[in-house]
Amino acid sequence: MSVKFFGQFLLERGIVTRSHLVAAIRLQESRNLRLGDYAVRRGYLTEPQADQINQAQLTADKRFGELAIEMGLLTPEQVDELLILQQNDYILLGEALIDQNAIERSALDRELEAFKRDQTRYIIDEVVFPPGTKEPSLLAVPIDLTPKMLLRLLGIHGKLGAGESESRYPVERLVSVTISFTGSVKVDYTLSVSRDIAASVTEKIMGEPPLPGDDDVVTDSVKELANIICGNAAAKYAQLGRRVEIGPPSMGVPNIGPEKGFIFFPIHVAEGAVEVRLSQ
Amino acid sequence: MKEDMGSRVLLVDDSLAVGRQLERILAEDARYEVVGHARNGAEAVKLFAAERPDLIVMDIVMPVMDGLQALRTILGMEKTAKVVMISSVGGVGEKASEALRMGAKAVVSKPFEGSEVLSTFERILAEDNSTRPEEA
Repeated sequence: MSVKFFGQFLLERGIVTRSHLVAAIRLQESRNLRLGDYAVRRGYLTEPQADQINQAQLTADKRFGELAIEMGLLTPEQVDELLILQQNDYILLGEALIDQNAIERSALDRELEAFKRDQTRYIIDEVVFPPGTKEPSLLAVPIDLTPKMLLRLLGIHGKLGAGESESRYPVERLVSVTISFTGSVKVDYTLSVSRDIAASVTEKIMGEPPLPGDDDVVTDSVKELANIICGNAAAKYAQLGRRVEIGPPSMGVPNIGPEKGFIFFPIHVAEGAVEVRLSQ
Repeated sequence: MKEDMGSRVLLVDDSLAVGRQLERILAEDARYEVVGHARNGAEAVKLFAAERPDLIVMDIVMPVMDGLQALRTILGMEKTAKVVMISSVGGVGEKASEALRMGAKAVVSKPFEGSEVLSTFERILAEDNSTRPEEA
């Protein structure tokens, strides 16, 4: 019930063993080199130059080749040549598993189909952002997953409203939790839910309803819900080729300055209130 | 001190709710005894040293010291320690792969069901260390 990488899917279904998977991942690591490694091997860049570009990538959401050209360290022709070399060597996990005799081709094809069917539940629907939002397709990932996970985890049907720019904080009676995304997507995700929803989350996670005075457990459960949503979002980013980390959840809403606002998304549910805010 | 209680399990998760869920799952199965509940990686390392449990069930994303750091430290202390990572980011190839490569026995994704957790534990505890020479 989550966004997965193919190896984990196979492992959980008992199709491959852990040691075969680790061997396949090691093979991938030895074959799937970074563009900078090829550039150093070909003598186009020194290692410090490649490191310099990698460092620049931490603050600019650009590909290695693009930055190398901008920095005057590689020509477009060299980048094209390196990309072809990289593409020729690249090995997918399924191929690596076949290479390790961990799976037959026919079983791999069957499992890939099953994996795609499993993951279609996480295809991103259209999320409406306020005009002028930068990179809406990336920001849409955790927003889109929120009502989907509410339905899958709690059986709560929610309708996602259009995103609006606003600076209002959630009302105090809502339990709010924030998780920061870092890496190639930088945004704070805040989930706010009413007490009724929070109690449902607790019951789902613990297998029994919260007792009176169990406030810490209830708020902790909302943290866990946010964690699951953002964890799935991080997995989705990985599928999209983006390297994104999520931090531990914290209670409350980020303190935004007066000049900055949230992108606010209501999720209309019958059982209580659910709101999501993004801030950058 | 309880004796003959079966496998001794150390829980490591910063979430009270997930900790309670795991305790409930394990309480219903007489083969397991929970010997401690750490709320971060640093606490996990201390409790591991004190209790030497048969199995450690550990979250990846935690404050103070995360699960991967704690996994490295614990395996440094005892190469054959059996650690299962549980995580909402289990699906992220990089983290899950890194944990497995470092020596975690399995990665279980949150949200999980009791039966899934128990079958994973059963499988791992049944593995004889002597049959796993590839573990470096």
